[in-house]
Amino acid sequence: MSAADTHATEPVTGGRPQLPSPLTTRPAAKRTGRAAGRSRQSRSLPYLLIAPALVVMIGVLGYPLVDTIVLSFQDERRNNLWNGVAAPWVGFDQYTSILGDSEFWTVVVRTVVFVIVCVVGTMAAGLLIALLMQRVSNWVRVTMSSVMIAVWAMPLLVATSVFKFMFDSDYGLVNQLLTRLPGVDYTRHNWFLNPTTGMGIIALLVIWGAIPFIAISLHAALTQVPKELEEAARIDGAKGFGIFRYVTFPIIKPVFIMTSTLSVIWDFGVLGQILLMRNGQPEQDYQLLGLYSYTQAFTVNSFSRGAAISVVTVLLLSGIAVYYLRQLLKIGEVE
Amino acid sequence: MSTAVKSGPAATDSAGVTYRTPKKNRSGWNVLGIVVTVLMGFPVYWMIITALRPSQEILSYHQKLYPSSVTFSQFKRAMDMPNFWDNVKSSVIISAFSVVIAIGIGLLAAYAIGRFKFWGRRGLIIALLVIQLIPATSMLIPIYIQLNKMGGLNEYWGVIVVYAASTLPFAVWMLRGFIVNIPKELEESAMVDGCSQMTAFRRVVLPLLAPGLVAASIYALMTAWNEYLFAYVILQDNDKYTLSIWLLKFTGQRGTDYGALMAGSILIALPVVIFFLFVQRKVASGLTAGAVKG
Amino acid sequence: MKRKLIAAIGVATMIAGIAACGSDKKDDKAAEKPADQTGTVTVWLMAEAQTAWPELVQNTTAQFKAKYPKVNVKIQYQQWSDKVQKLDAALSGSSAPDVVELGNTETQTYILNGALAELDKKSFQNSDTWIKGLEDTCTYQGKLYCAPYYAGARVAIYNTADFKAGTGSDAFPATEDELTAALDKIEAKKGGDKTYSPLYLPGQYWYAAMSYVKAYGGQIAKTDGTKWTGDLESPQAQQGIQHFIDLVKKYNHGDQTKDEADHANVMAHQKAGVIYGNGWEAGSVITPPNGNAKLKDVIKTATMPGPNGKALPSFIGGSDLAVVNKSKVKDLAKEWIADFTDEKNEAALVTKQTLPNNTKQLEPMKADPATAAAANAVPDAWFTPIAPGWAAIEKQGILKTMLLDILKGKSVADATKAADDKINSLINTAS
Repeated sequence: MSAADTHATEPVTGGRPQLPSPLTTRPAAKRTGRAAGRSRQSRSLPYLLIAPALVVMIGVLGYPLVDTIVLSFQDERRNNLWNGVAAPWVGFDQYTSILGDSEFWTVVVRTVVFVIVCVVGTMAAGLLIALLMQRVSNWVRVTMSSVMIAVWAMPLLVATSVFKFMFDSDYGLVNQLLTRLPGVDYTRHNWFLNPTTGMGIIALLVIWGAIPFIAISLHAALTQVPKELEEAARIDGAKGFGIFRYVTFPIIKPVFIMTSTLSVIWDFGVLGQILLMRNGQPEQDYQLLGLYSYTQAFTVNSFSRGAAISVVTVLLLSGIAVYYLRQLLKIGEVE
Repeated sequence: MSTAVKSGPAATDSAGVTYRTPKKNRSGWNVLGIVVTVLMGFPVYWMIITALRPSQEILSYHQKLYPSSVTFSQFKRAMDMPNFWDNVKSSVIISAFSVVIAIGIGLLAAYAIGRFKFWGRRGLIIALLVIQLIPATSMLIPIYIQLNKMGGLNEYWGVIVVYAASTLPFAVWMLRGFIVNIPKELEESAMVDGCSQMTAFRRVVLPLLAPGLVAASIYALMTAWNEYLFAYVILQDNDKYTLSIWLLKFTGQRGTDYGALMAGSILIALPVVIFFLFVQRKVASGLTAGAVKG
Repeated sequence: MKRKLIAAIGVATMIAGIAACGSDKKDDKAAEKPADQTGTVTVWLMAEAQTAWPELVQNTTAQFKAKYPKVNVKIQYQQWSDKVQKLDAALSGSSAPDVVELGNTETQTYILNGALAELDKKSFQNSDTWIKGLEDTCTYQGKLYCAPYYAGARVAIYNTADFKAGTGSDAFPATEDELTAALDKIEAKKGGDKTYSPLYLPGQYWYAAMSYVKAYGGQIAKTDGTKWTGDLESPQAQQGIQHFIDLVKKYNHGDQTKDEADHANVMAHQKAGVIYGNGWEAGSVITPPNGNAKLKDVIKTATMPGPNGKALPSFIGGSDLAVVNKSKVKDLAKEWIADFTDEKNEAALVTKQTLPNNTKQLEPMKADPATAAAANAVPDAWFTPIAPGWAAIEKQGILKTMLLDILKGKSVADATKAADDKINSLINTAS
């Protein structure tokens, strides 16, 4: 390790006039003009940089990841877990039973619809708020971001409780306000009786809770947009939306794609909000994949089934992941 | 497409300055900004007045938008709960270390991914992605078993490494998105001026990364500050619990004490909001400094 | 046999009361004197032991320390919401607790999966008069795996002022017919308030619904000794469910589709004449912060009358204490439980409107008007099926879903059929 360190710093002290190993040019072309020692250094440097991250992640998550996959091919129950009794291997049984279960597919479809609604809602609102934050006076922006941070800092338990209060059938503010409108009686109206409105309220909670992260990240990205460029585009005759589309958006695109992908991933895993909103026992109509996997593992006592559902979820999500990866690699490696 | 916009040092811009909209148009935006603030902030407001109003008014059949009288008894009740200060200490230790570790290590890795091409880079990106796809709750027991082997149960570091490992992929991605946008010509020119690569990184890249670093650390902080399931399962002594576990004391079989719950969560959220306001000012000045040096 | 038992109880009392001699006990630590024994006993208790009755822990710690000055007792309080995950994880590792509190519908899961150590009934005070419903939850194939800790039974909690205003008397009716007549009168009196419910029975309150099933002679599930099957489709069970739904629809003027989570709050806001709740919930109604102190002298408890002129059979809930099989200090752990559930501590529970684990101490409660209703409910109480998969059925809310479906318009026959199918798919697999 220390030897490598010395290597890494060696060329630096030499006040080298050239770049180390930028991504812009093909590595092969670059390497030709270099001294062998420097080439070795530039090859080891990235590994040194990623080493700590790898150590932490493999150390903590390596075994659990492998174990989750192994579990999904077994039939592990509490008895196996607690008493060291080896769980029997069942091959693809968990998978065939899940994939052949119509309930599972209903949950998948419901999850996909829910995720689309939440992600589109979050990203649209987050982007608009980020753009708005650029246009307002300083004091308004500080107010906006403080409130946003306060929203973000609200623990899930509390945020969900507040929404539950507001939409409560008996003492909810929403019903009481709606009832004040002429000709409207929402007394005792239960928003959760109809799963569609119930899920709508949960989606509202999820979107509301995710907006701060998206808005703050996108706002941070927007500060990287050079104002000269936008000015130049304006002088060239570009209009508001055109400037956004051809000048602003390309710069924030990496962050936009990253945050939207993360939103997809997180919304796929929504669990706590539903659990708390439905008093810990969500009805069948409220099951989403994350919750479903959790329920199967902890209440139906099959850790293996829970694990298999997780693996299937990951595979389903990989479709989105592949799209993201292609975008990511495109942006990262400008040819 | 994105190369077109990557120009020289002009990319440095102060976060605090609005540059596009002429001043006269701003009042319209300001009004809109206030409307958005009110809509977003209403549940926060509701939390605050729930904490301040007498308990009897909370689940009332005649909701009012403001409390009839203000009481701080809920805050007192919350702070009188056993282990409050112990748990404050745990939360601070765990959050601080996991943020520093995740962001520090994440920045190095993000720089490697964003600036270098090396064997295994693609594999690493894919691994970072896949890790985030897995629902964390499904790994609860495997992670527990792993920590048990490592001796990390009931230890702060056990929770810290779990938080750091789970926010790392995100931090790497986030920071990478910002690094890609920093023209490497900037670094080059710094190195031409005789700076070493590390110095160039520190003097040129780091200030430009400030907004990204802040966004990523707030994310890591929020995760560590508010997560409770892993902390609850890993930590065993009541005085080692974090504040988010402490908060659960207000819910129980014998009813939920909503007033104290809301008061407790205000106490928990306050440091985060203050931290953010503090950091926000630093970011603005950090950017300006970057512009001068760049 | 009987003499043996008495002798055993005598020994047990001695162990619990005075410092026992090490030589009396035949265990691995027999050679060691109690005063020299070292180690740590880790105890997981639910939060009530910290908030509602902290003196039990204080008593026990003092008592235990007197016997084993070098043994360290670590009490860690848990929350009901995520305890299962924590315990499931802990049992897989090497740092499981030694003593753990379990809700009495959870115990079978842990017994069947071999997580708990066998206990000797004789080592617990008053174990010969343990409430049977609780003891049954600790027993599997004739062996005992946990000790009852406390119990809870459901009673009518009513607002005497509303009864006085409606019927002229603040006494609670003894039969259901008289009760409904009184409710009608109260309703007429309070007619102006559309949110007032003379009897507030939430529609998803399955513990109440199943009490009506029981009253008609039905049951949730039946067993032939080896296999369990859902029995909600039986005519008796359907009758009971219908009776419950009728009461909900007629007298609950709030949102009928809720569960019982906040019924004490409804009463505290004077929006209910009667609720059917745990004995201690009468205290929640009148105790701040959530309760309404103004109702202090107005709220009383009474036996809930059921159909057919009899009292409504109550569900008996409660908690048990068990020793984890992986524990390295099982004997100390067992003794800690014996100390914790001794007569003195159980007596302290009685003062908290909580039922003790034995009928001996329950008896005097019947004479006290504040606790009589709950104490009287114990002999006829019912319990959920002691079946391997019951915990999963409860956690998936199958009975709640059934009741909700009926309220939404499904026929009782269809809904009970669907519930039975679900129950049959889960009940025989250990959860």
